Amino acid sequence: MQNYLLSILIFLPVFAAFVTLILPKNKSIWYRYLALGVSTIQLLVIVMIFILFKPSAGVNNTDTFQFVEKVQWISLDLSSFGKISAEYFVGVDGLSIGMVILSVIVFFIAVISSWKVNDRAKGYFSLLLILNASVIGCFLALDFLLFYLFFEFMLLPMYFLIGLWGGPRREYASIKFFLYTLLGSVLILIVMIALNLSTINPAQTAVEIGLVTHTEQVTPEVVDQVQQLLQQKAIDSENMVHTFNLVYMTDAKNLIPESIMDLGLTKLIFSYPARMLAFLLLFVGFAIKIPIVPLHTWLPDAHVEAPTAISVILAGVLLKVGAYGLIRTGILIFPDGALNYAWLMGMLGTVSIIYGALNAIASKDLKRLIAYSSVSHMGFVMLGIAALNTEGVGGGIYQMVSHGIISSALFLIAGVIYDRTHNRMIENYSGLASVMPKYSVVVVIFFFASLGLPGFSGFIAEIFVLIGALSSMVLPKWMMIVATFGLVLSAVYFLWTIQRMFFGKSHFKAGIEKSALVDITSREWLMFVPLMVLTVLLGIFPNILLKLINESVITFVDFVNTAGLENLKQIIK
Amino acid sequence: MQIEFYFLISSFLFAIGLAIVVTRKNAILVLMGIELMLNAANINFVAISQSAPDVGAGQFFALFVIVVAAAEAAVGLAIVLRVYDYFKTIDLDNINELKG
Amino acid sequence: MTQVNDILDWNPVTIMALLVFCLPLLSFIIISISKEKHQVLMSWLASLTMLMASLLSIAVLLQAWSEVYHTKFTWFQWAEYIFTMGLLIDLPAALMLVTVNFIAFLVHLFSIEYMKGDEGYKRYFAFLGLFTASMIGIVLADNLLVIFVFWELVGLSSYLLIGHWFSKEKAAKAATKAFIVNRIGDIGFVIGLSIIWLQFNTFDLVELYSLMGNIQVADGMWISASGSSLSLIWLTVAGIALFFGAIGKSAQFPLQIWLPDAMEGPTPVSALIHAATMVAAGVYLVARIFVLLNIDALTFIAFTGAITAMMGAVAALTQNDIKKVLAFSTISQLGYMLMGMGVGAYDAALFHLFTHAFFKAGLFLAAGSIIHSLHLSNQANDFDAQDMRNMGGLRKSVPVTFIAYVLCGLALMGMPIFSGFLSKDAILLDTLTWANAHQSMFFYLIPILGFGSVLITAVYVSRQILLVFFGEFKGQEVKSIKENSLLIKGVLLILSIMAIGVCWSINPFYSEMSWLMSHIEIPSSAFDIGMLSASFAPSHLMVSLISTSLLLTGVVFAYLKYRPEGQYFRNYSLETLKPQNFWQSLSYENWYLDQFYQTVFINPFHKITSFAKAIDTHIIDRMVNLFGMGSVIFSYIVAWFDRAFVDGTVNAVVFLTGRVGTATRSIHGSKAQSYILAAVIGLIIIIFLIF
Repeated sequence: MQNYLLSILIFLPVFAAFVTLILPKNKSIWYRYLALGVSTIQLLVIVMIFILFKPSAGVNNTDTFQFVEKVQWISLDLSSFGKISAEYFVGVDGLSIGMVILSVIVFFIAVISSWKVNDRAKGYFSLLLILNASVIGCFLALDFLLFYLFFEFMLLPMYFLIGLWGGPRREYASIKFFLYTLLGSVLILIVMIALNLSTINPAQTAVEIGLVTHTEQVTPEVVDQVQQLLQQKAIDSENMVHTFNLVYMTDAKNLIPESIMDLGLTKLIFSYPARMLAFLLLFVGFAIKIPIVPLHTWLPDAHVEAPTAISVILAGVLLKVGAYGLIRTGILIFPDGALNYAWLMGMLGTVSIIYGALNAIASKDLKRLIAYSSVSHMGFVMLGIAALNTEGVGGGIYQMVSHGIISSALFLIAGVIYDRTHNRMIENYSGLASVMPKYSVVVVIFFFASLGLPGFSGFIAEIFVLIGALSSMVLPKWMMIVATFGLVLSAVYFLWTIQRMFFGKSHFKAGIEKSALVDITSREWLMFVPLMVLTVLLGIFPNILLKLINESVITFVDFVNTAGLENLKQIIK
Repeated sequence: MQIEFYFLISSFLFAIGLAIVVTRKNAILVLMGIELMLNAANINFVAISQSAPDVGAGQFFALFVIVVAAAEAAVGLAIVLRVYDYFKTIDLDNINELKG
Repeated sequence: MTQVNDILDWNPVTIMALLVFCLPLLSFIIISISKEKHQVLMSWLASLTMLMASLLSIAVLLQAWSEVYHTKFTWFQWAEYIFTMGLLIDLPAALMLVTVNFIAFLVHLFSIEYMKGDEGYKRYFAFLGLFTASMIGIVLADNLLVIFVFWELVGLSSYLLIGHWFSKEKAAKAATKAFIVNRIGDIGFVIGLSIIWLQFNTFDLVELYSLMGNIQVADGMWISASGSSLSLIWLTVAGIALFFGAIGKSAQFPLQIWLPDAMEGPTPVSALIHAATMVAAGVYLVARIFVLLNIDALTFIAFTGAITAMMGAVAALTQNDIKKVLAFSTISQLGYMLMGMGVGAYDAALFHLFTHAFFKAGLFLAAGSIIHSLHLSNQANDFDAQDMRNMGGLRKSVPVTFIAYVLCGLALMGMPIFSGFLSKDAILLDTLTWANAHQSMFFYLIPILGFGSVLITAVYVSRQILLVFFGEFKGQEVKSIKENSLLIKGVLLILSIMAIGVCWSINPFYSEMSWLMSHIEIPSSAFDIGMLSASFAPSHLMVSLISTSLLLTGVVFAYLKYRPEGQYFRNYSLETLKPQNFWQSLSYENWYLDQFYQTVFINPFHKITSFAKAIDTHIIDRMVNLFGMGSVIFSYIVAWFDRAFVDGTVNAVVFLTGRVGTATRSIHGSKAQSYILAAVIGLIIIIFLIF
């Protein structure tokens, strides 16, 4: 049973989506309960995983991944060209465990938040469940093709969910979101194909050339042997098994000599090293999703027009897929590219922090403000990752989890007010604290959590990102100093919003009735309280998350710095 | 007499016959032109048979041609009669139901 | 002398200190979840808790008098680093602990009376508990990161308490301003933290103390024991950056603008947070990181402090709000403390911190008592109880408050016999010593500013006392102004007693004899250059005489100008709205700092944010939309191309085929004879081809 936990996580929602589709229409209440049930089971599974998780590195070593499931999926024999092999390969390590836990929690919250959706509920809930499966699949997949499949699969439900159940400009927002991120995906596809052409699966190649008879018999010595043979060009191309396996791709010795992605760099595209170009393509593709300024403009529109639950999922989880993808595929496979472009990544991260905050200050719509604050916070993630040291990368991952929790709460907050008055303009509200005191308490808590007040998870994340940025060997010191201003800017927009909307005398414009402003209901408390508890727990006892990710972060940073340098040396010579 | 003279005469006759066939509007005149062409061929046959007198094949063939010409004239005239019955004219320019 | 405990090693002293921390925290949690109807009971419970905390802290002080206690435990592990959290109890920490707890206790008692009937009563006491716990956290923490955590939490509590009456627009704005200005200072704190981390890879104070002792300076590089080296400038930057946090928290120049506005909060809050404790946290931080500060950083601190001392004092001269005078006075006195720190007078500055805490709290609570009495009396509806122009002659109505006010005021001025004299004197002595030790005359600016502030302090304190307590009451119904309850009177009395010098030193005239000051050790740092050696010291008697004479001059001047029979006093009413000349305006408007920031920073900042928004919508997003539109247009072009050329080629081929067909069809002509002709021509061609 333990071995199949991850597959349960991924496929249970798919099955449930199918069931939802065939349920009769008059039993629409069942859709919700089914979705809730699926989320609850996922929560139980994730708790089991959390308990059973042993801190081990993963990253670039197949043996140290946990809950691994590996089944041969596609196996194409193309005679003289070789064989193409894709596997259903899922597993967790420190880098992805935080994300998976986050996804499960966010989806649970999203289901509760979607409780009141009545219009075409069947379609809504089945799309939600498919989205659930795709996102979790993205985080668990360790095979590039599988990852790409889930990555693309996320876009379709989002398109419909925003486009059909969204606000006034939903068609524009959804198609913008879809096409923009699809463009990024295409760039990723190019690199994926290039990598597939250039990388072999040593285990299966060993079988092909007759060293062993079955992949189970492959030992590290056999792998070494295969790699040596490969570098000596002693393997016929028709015996090479091209792979999509992400873990094998991290090992530069699996690269076929003279191929596109090879370190010897016989291939120059526009007189630019192919590997650098590949990293840039991957970076741009994922940067659209993270999002990084200037590729971020789909986000405000998508968030503003999406229904509350979808905004929660979008901000809580989807943005993290971009950052996670960059780590897992971009930086791990091209550590040389990462070292080379760390400056660029850090720069863009810093720009995102400041620019996102400035735009948030200028926003008149509450949801737009929160959307831009997401851009700003993901800038911290980017800066942390770009620092390429344990403080920075750990801070980036911590920020991903923390921001997922907090921004979900923030969008729920926007949803609370929207549900009551369908008006999100900040200037229309004043003195809400006297009318909705409990709501104000929640808002104050989460706004302060988001701006990085100690005691909440955001502080730990941001302080370590900043420390890492200053101590980084690849980033200049002024970047951290500029980024620190982001701390003040986030205080400005959040506190100013509290002051405008919640403090002062109560009066409302644009026809908002005081009677419509009901304080928080128990369903909404059900959503807020777990998030509050989580962010406080992660703020006071960081070890809860840290003990899961520490090993991986250390291994990751070591790997990127050493392998990156080695690769760079080979490239430059 | 040189045989070329005979050839000359027969080719003249042939050419005249061809010209009549191609250019004259009257169907009967076309038949007459055909007769002329046939007779020109006859002259050719007979003239050549002069070179191999003991075989006499050319003369025999000429007799055949005359008979065939006669038969053909008869049939041709019969057809012209039927054409006249149908088209009420024997002007070849007007016998034209094939849409061009 | 130091007793350092390893991880997880507790002893009774640290357990007591931990209890001192937990008690207010518990108060916060319990009050938050208690019901509204129990709120008065809860407030008494909170006060009792604070009493217990105060007693415990006195016990800790007695233990920490001669030994340093340090305990730490693992908080979390980040990759390869282990982060600990713990308590570092040395003498300054213990003294601070007593001060904070005791004043918090007094403020709790005071608030029970002051806030009676307020609809946010429960919330108020809960946040008071949160604040006290956070402040104790700063005091006890042994780790810069943990100090920063509680530093921010103290800022949060301040925000919540300043904005206690949040339906008042001004209060809400003041709270936001306070937090944001504090955050600006925190930028420096974070930068300083990061530089320390970069160099030493630890935040633990005890480790830092020993590491700083072992650094080497060579070739303009700052080399730590582990070999990591940075350019020496970063040491100064780190020191100044960390100090910047103190500038924010302690309302020094240029970030002093939040403190006057913070007076929108309830007066006991002002007493506790903005006079005695939170703002002193900046000074305390400087004390904690004293060994990390090199000469340049210290000089910077000294000048900042001195300038602020002068600016605050000048601004207090023309204020009309009773609390604003005290707020500016606090800014000025904090400047004194930092000035003292900067010249190396660690012990004198801390001494002043403690004396100031008591007499300033006394002043604020006395002011609160006046405000409370005025609120309770029968005045007009729009009567502003805080405006001094409405007051006068109150010595007859609230005599106990009057006495408390005068005693604490004299301490503030620095009158001999009172506590303030001892600490101020010590600082002034040391600034003069420091200036003497330097070659250049420039450094005399600091003692000059220091002495000048003494003069001005005397003037504004006397002014306030004269305007509030002497003469005749300007409002109505003077008979209805009553003294407050025993609770308030008791609190004021205790604080006034603390303002008297005998409590602090056997000989009220000589600070060297102070039991407190003589016991504080100045931490030795690698940068000790003996600035304060006795060889440079001027005569102590001379210093005291100068300061006392300045003080008396100020009092006399104030009396002459502001006495009840004088013109100023008679004209001093609500109609006197505008300051008369430039200097008065400068003082009244707090050196136009708010206006300056508004024009130079805030207005352009609004433009910048609008600009950013414009860039986003009109440039970046427009590019995206243009890209999309461009793609659509491009696809239309391609479609046209497809129709015109590709399809056109197909159509052309068809057309051509038709034409060719038509042409060849004409061979089947109308004339039967044309067939014959064609056949003949063909035959001739074939013959020619063959032969």
